Amino acid sequence: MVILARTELRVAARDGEQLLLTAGLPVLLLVFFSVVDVLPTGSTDPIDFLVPGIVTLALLSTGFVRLAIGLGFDRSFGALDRYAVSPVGVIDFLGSRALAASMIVAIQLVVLLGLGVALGWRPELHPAVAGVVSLASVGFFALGLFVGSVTEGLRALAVANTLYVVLLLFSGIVFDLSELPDGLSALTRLLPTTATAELLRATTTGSAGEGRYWVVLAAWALAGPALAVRFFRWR
Amino acid sequence: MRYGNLTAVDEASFDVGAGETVALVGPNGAGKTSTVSAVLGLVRPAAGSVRVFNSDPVRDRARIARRWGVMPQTGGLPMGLRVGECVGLFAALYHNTIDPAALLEQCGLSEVADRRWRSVSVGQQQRLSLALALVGGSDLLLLDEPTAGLDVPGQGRVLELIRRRAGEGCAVLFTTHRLDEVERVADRVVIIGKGRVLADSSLAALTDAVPEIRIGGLRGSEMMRLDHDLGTSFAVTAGHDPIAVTMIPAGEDPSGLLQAVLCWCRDEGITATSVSVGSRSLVDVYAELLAE
Repeated sequence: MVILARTELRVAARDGEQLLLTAGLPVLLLVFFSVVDVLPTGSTDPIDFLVPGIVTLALLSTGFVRLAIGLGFDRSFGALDRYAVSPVGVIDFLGSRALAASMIVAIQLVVLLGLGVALGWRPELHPAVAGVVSLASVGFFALGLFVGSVTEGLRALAVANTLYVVLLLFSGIVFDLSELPDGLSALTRLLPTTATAELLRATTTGSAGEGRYWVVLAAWALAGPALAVRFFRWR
Repeated sequence: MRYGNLTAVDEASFDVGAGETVALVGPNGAGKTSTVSAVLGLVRPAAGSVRVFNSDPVRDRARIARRWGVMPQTGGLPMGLRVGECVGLFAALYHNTIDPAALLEQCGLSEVADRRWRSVSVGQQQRLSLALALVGGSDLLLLDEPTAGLDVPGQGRVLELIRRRAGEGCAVLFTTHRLDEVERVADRVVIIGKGRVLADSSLAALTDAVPEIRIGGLRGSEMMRLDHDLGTSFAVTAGHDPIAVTMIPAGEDPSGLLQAVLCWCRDEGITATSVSVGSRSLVDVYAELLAE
């Protein structure tokens, strides 16, 4: 698993477009919206609202979009055909992708949190923050691998990017959920992005967060890997 | 093996032993790749069974995959990897590996080891694919058209590597459309047509089973008289100098018929440009089996 993860990291480091999406975009958004105060953040301090949202966005980009597109293109370019007849097992293969994504997420977190502090963010961290990042990572990684398992090539690109926009817009990442109509707001509270953003905001301001968001995040973290393993196919 | 209503392979039964090189040949759509897919456990036969190292390749794939090296007909690699890195990656997946640097040299890839695999030529990608199959030092090699797309020196290099591995005790099963390759490296040939095994035999047994007499320089009318007088059945091979060919039934001594032909030519005052007794070519045997 480690050798495969190392290979995946090597490939990631050479893929400039993906790096721009996964690493550059969240940094750009964090800097832009912290300087240009246009987000409807409600009563929350803009930087306290922004950093958890951008961290959620980074997890979504790296964990979900990158994994889905990478797996989908590996399938269309025949890399999975070769792994299919090699000693690599499904769990090792999927685990290696998740492990590599974890490494990238860790680097992103250091960069984004450091940048946030530089921009005036003063978090009051609750110990549960580690649980939020862990559960969210598992959920997003697994959903990305699931989408990459049932699509390939350009279809993976289209599906992943569409879901990315949906998960981004209909969540509490870029604006306060109270801005949405009641029915839609209730639905968005079931999304992993909403749960992640809300719990990150809570756990970076000294609170453990609301139980219903923990339930939602845990459900995605359990369902995601089950879906990914169940629907994964080499060919 | 079925794909929906289509039966791709029906009644295909053969085995490959240690140190043996077996060629699986047949026309396009005959079921070669489907057969290899079943051996690899990628598809489960609707009936019958496949055993690899006495195990079920579907159920025990993870375990037995460490003992085989596979060169699929198509198959890419992670984008952005260099040739040498690809071989290093696959070496790390096996226990009993061949030194990647030495293998790159043997496969003629040392000079492109630092280039991305997508940027090298099709022939080099094909040789890289073979290197990935070989690097595990496997007990079984499954090669699906290993010389497709290769130039003549490349073909020779690949066949030499196959021969060498077989000499070290590795079982080799390869598919090909090139019968000259079969004659160069295979111990045994399995001919498959319309999903059925038409022949499974050593090359010598297949081509020597029905010896033939070949007579050059006869005109059409002379051949008809020969047929009539000797009660044989000569066919004519194409070419500038037509050659009359007749098969000797199994178990019969060809020298009797040869003697009769020579006497007939002398008595009729006909000068044949050549008369010979020999084995049939694999091409002829193959064509006849498929025609049947």
